[in-house]
Amino acid sequence: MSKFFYYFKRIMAILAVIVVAFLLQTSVFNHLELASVVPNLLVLLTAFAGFMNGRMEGMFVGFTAGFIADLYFSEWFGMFALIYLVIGFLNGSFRTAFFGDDIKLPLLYVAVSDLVYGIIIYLCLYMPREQYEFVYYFFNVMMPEAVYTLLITLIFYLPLIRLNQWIHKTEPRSTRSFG
Amino acid sequence: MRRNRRHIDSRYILFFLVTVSVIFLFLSYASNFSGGIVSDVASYIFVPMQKGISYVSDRINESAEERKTNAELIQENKDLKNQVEELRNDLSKVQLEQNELDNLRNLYGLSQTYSDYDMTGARVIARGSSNWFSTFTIDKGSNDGIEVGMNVLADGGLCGIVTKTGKNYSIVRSIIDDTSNVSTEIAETGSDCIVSGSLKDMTEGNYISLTNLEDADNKVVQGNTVVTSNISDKYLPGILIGYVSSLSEDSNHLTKSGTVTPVVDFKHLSEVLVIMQLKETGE
Repeated sequence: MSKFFYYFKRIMAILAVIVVAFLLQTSVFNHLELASVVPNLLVLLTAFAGFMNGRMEGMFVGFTAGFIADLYFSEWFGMFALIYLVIGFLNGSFRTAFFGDDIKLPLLYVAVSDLVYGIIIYLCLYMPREQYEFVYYFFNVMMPEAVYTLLITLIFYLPLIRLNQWIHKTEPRSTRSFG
Repeated sequence: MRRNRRHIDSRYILFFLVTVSVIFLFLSYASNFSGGIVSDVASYIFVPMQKGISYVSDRINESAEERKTNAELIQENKDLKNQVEELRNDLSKVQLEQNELDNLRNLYGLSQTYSDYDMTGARVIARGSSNWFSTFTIDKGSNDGIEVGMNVLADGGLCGIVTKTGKNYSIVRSIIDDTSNVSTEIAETGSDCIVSGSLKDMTEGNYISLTNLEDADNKVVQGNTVVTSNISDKYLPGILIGYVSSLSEDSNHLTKSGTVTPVVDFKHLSEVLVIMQLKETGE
């Protein structure tokens, strides 16, 4: 079978995972609110795609997830796509340090990614409207969100690693380094 | 060599996608672009699934209700019967007053209160994807006659405003969103003020903040009613928002600010009413 078939299959699988994550994020997790925050599955997924499979896939997942979020919930269309794209790229740059059997490093990446996401949103959409209490927002919105996202990462870590292995297992060696 | 080449590739792609996003941002700034045909296509994938999920989660909440014991149900039934009795008494009084009010209104030539507006019910099927903003999706859109700018009510009070419509869904920005501002007045005294959503007040104690209240005679007290005002260009007049819960004088000694407890329970929204009429601003 041709290489393109495998790429197609992989892209379809990734799109399906993004759609599921988006639905969980918007329709399920709002019932599971803790300390008035919900976890950020889209950052989690983007970070995972980045440090497991490299920059290209990180950017692809980030841009797509952000684009979908933009379609529904953006004041400025393109904003979330840009933020998630950068997060995917940065995580992809740390791919070399990632080994599947160590969970500490992925947790660190996800936490830092979520904080970066929060800080960008604050700088772009809160500070220009004269909301200068960064410390307040840091400890009441960004930190709780990052901690909650970490908890969710513990649950989704193995399934996502397995899923990644399954997607890659059926592919010939030559297509594995997609990025 | 190969590895090097790939790294350069991914930077080109990054540059390309950043450019695409910036073009989107520019388009949305210049012409209110928000996805166009793509968002219609996407809504045919997402909206049915979101409807399904919200249906299932409502059923789960209902089955939690079913687990109540008999004794609890009997007690609840008793309480409710008492309440019905009280409400019936109240209702007959109110009906008399309503007739009188209608007559007087007719005499004055005032015809509409907001209970007379044409409304349609809708179900909340999804929430915004970030903790920073308070928006939600409802399951009715332009096919059902919903337009951008229509006011949305829940629990008998103002809940938000439609900011985007698709064919089968609409996005509502609630009044607790940090970017929301509503021109309001205190029903008891008629003094104008502004109610703005605040993420900070909402996290601290489920409040919305109230600013620019002109109250030189100190007439406004805690518990006064806050309603939308006539001068608002987006919100219909006289819609209940909540009750004043605290007030303090600003440093300029001219205006006051404080907090408002909203009547709407924003954490547990499942059904809302959309007023099918836009505010006429005479432009």
